Amino acid sequence: MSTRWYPIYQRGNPQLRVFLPNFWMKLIRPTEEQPPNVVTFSVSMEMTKYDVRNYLEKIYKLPVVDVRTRIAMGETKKDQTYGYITKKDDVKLAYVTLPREESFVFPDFFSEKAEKQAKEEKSLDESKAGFRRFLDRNKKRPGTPGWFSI
Amino acid sequence: MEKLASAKTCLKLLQVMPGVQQAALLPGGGLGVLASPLQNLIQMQQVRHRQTKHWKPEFKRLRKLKFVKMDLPNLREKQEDITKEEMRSRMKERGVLPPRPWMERPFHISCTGGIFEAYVPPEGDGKKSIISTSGAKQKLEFLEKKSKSLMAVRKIRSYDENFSSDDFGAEAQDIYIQAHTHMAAKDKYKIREFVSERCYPEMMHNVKDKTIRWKFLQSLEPPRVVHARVTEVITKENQFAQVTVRFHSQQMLAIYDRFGRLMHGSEIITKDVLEYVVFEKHISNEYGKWRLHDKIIPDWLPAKQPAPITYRLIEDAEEPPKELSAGDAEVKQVDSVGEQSKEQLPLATPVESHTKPSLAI
Repeated sequence: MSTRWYPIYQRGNPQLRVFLPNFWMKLIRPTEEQPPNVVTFSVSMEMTKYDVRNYLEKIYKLPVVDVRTRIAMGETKKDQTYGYITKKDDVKLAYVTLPREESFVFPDFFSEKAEKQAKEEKSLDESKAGFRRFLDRNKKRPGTPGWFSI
Repeated sequence: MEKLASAKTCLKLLQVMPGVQQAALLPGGGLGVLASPLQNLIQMQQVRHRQTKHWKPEFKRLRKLKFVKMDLPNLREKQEDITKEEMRSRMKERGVLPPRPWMERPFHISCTGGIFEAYVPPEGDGKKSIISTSGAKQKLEFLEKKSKSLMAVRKIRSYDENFSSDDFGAEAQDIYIQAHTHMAAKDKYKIREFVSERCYPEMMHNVKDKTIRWKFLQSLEPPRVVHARVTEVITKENQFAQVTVRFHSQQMLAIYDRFGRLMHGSEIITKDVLEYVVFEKHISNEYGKWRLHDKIIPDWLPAKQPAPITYRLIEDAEEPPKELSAGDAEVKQVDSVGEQSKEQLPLATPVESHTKPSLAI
C-alpha cells in the first residue's frame, strides 16, 4: 500500500483489497488524567479519525462514540557542544470516547514482580533482624565474640 | 458645596500657619492673604525617586539575566527519613540511574532467615531432679511436645532415609565441635561446611584480632533431639528441616585480645554449658547437609557475665527497667574484678615451682 496516494473508490471500479496496511495503533497511558470512558492511542500518521473509528468498530467490535486526533510535535533538543538542533518524530494521538457505561483501565503489568521481590527479601530481612537482636544481646561485652554461652 | 470645601482648606492652612490667624480674622482682605502661602506650598512640594535605579537603562535585561535562581537541596534531611518512592521520584527527576549493586563476589544463600516455631525450653532444665515435682511436670510436658516433632521427623525421613532422631544427636555434636574448632582457628572457608549463612555473621563477629582457645571436654548428658520442624519456602517442593538438639557439656573457653591479655574466660576453669542448638538442612536438595543454624537462649538462663574491661554504659531512657539491670551489671563488674584477682594467685604458684629446681642445681 502506497502512502503517497490514497485510492478513492469510484462506483463501478473494482474494489481494492489491502492485506498489509501501513496503519498501526498503540495503546498508551495518557499523560493527563482522562475520564474512565476515554482511551488514548498513538496511531500511524496516515490514519484519520474515520480510519480509527472503522478499525475499532469493525475489527474489535467496540462501540465508539467519538474520535479526536491531534498531532503532537516531537521534542527538540540542542546539542551542547556543536549547537545543532535535533528533533524527534511527530506523533499522532487519538482520543477515543466510548459510551458512558463503558470504562477503561490501563493494565498493570508489574504488580506480580513487586510481590515476588518482597517475598524473596523476607528471608534476608529476618536474618538482619536476628543479627540486630544478637548485637543487642551482647551489649555488655564490647569487642568480645558473642557466640559463646559461657 | 464649594464654599464648604474652601472652608476646609482654609482651616487646614490655618493649622499649618498659626501666625496668619490674626490676618484671617479680617473680613475684607481674606482672599489676598491666602494666595501667597498656597504658592509657597506648591513650590516646596517634594518629589520621590527610586533609589535603586541604574544610570544605564539599556542593559536592564542583561542585568536581570545575570542572576540565576537555583533550587537548593535541603542539606539537613537524613537518608533514613526519605521513603523509597520519594527517592525514586527524585532519581527520575534528575535522570539518574540507581547505583548498580556491587557484586564483586557472588554469594549464595541456601538457608532460611530464622527459626520457625522455635522450641521453648522448660524453666530450670538441667538442674531439677526427675524425682521432684517440677521435674516430673517437665517430663509430662516433654511428652506433649514430642508428638508434633514426630510428624516432622517422619517427613524428614521421607527425604532422608538414614535420618534417625536417636542417632542424630551424636552427628549433631560432631558438627557442633567442628564448627567451634574452625571458628577458634578462624578458618573461614572450612567453617562454611558446618555453619549456615544465617549463622556465619554471628559466629565470626569480633573474632578478628582475637585468640580463642576452646575445648570440648566431655558430654555430661548425651545430646538429645528435643524439637523438629519442616517448612517450605516460596514453593511446596522447596523444603527445609530444622532440628533442635539439647547439649549439656563441659567446655573450656579463654579469649585473649590482640595484645595477649585475657578478655574472657580462663584456660584452667571448666564450665558446664546447657545449650539448645538448631540445625538446618535443605532436604529438597540432594546434596544438602545438616548445618549449625542458630541458638535458642531461654529467658530464664542467668545473664552472661559482663566484660571485665571498662566500657561506657549507654542507658536507654525509654525503658526504665533496663537501668536497674545496668546497675546490677555494675555490681557484677566488681565481682568479676575480685574473681580475676583470685585467678592470678594460682598462676603464681607454678612459677615458684619452677624456681625450686634451679635452686637445687
